[in-house]
Amino acid sequence: MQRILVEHKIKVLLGKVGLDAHDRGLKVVASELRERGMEIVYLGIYQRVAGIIRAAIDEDVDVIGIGSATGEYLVAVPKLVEEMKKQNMSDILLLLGGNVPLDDILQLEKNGVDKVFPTDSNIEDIAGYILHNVRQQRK
Amino acid sequence: MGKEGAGGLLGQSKGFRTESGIPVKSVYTAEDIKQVRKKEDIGLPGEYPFTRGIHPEMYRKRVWTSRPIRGMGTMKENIEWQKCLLEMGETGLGMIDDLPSRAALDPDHPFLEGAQGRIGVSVASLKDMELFVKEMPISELSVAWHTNKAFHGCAYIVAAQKAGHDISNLRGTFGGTLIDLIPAFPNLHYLLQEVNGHRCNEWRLNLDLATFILRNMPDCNLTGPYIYNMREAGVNAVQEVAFAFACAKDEMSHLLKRGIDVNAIGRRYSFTFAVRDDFFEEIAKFRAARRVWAKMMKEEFKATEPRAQMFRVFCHTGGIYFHRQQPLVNIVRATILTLAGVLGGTQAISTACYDEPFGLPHEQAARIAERTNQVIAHETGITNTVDPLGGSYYIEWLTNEIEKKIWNLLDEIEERGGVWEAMKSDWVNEIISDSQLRIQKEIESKERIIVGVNEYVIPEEEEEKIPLQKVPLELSEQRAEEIRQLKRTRDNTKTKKALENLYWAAKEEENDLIPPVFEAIKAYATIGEIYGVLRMAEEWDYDIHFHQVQYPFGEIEPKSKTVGVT
Repeated sequence: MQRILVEHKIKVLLGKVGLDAHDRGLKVVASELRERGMEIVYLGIYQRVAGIIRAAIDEDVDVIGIGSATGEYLVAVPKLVEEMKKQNMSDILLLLGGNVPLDDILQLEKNGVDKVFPTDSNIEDIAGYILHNVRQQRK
Repeated sequence: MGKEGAGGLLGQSKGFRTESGIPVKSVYTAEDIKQVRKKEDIGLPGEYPFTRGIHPEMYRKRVWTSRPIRGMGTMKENIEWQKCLLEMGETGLGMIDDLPSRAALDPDHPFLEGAQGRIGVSVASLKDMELFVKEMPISELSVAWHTNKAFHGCAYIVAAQKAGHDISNLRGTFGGTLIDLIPAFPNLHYLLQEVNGHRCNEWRLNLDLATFILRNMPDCNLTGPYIYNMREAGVNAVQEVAFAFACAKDEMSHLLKRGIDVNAIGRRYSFTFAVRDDFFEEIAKFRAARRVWAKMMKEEFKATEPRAQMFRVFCHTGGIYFHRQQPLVNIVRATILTLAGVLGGTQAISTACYDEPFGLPHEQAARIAERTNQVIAHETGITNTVDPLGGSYYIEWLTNEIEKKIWNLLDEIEERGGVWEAMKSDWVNEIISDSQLRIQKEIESKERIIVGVNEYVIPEEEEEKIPLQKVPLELSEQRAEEIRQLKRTRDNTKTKKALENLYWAAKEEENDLIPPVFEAIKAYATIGEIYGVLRMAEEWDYDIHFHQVQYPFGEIEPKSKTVGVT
């Protein structure tokens, strides 16, 4: 693990879509992932799909993490998936976190979101998932 | 943080400290409250400094108002929902708006993606309030709009007047200061400007509405700071009170500058607090808050009427304390939090629903939240006597400790240049983010036990499936279309004139914004248009955050052509 971190820090973009300002969870995730050696591109609140895509390309990130506490992911995330396909960004992991009920989790994970981490997820699980899957991508 | 007592069979998990960090001893005795003066510090309920409650009889005379903060969809769905809640037994109407309304964006704004009506009711024009006033028993109930936008209160008043209500008889809570929002939106430069003591027109309108209510609606209270948001974001109980009071002082000083009597303000001022997870600290917090506020109003602001020295509070059981795993356990949490609010002597409560981690409440969850209040009110004997914990060694000691810390923090805020500067500084943001991270780490290390989350966990497949509220996605577009249609069908000549009048009125600092805003609302100008024009008058962008929408009527006509037309 350490060797990989030295070679190339995992770069994670974090942002919230729409008007949702409940950023407590996303900030905590940002700090915790940074402490585990990842580089964070923190876009924060009030983001739109186009801006997230642009930042992800410009910053050459490995992971896009979207936080949502207000259900705005329902429209934004499918759009994001579609746009990522168009831009050939299949090597980027797409994660969603926040207030997401189980039915939506199943639906989203079937339709292009790599993994959903709902409220009260364990940080170790999030970090572990990213480490494991980014490494897989790079093989 | 001290490790003593960490671990332990019963899950005493974060050392023997209160949530705000005050070290707690194993037992308290008369020795610990030697410095507490029986009459001056504790006294009797209904008497200065109101430590034990603001009324002599408290819940013996009238049980706290159950005013759940709810709202969803368009006004039509919201009214059905509110009627359903009234049937469950809520005793006050507490509506929350959706995010677009809160950002003063019309539902047809291109930035919006499914946000309309999603976490609250969409409020965009007088049409919404006309429907609300027509369908709801507003002359019988008190009505509160939980929002930072003065538009809602203004539109509500206009609709009520139009429907023939005498607004001087209406009961409710309106207004709201914007200062408590700053930590949540530090990048909103518009909100943060202050030139020669003048702040943005959005503040000015809030103050104008507060002034209007103080002068014309004797049975309505002012919302005051909505400090619940900061508490949920991460400040502790002591910081919650100190920041709330610092924000209130800021708002009051602006109202006083307008020549309003401090007693008139104090009589009607109220707060929105959170209730969180340290049971006794929360109770002591409310008691300490009443004492500090009373002293501040009397000594610093020279309020002479006892009613103007009373700390009135609406509390909201903290949603962040509710967890996704084993969600029915949240009913237990809600009960304990509601009880803390009641023992703390609150005036009104919104009990959060057990499905809070999933979205808006389902009917079943909302009913249980209501029943929680009803069980506490009718089945526990708690309402028999006022402030039953008064005189407890621990509670009185803790009330005193918290009071001292509140005063210290109020001093520190002053030393940092006042609340306006403090709120903009990294200091407050660091307090919030440090606490968020600390709590997360305590959960990870199990220094803090959360039942069902990091201890007493069950496998995901054994989780109970609970019914969930769904706001249909189509609703966003329907709502956008509704507003497009309104904009096409209203008398646009009238709307244009009213907006231009507002523009020119806003240009002069000494003008009261209420008459031109009421006129614009009557002409069915929307929330986005009204706030957009208020910003144009200050030479900011009409669509300040997103730059996607233009003022709909081209150029503003010169003043000479518009004045006096409405």
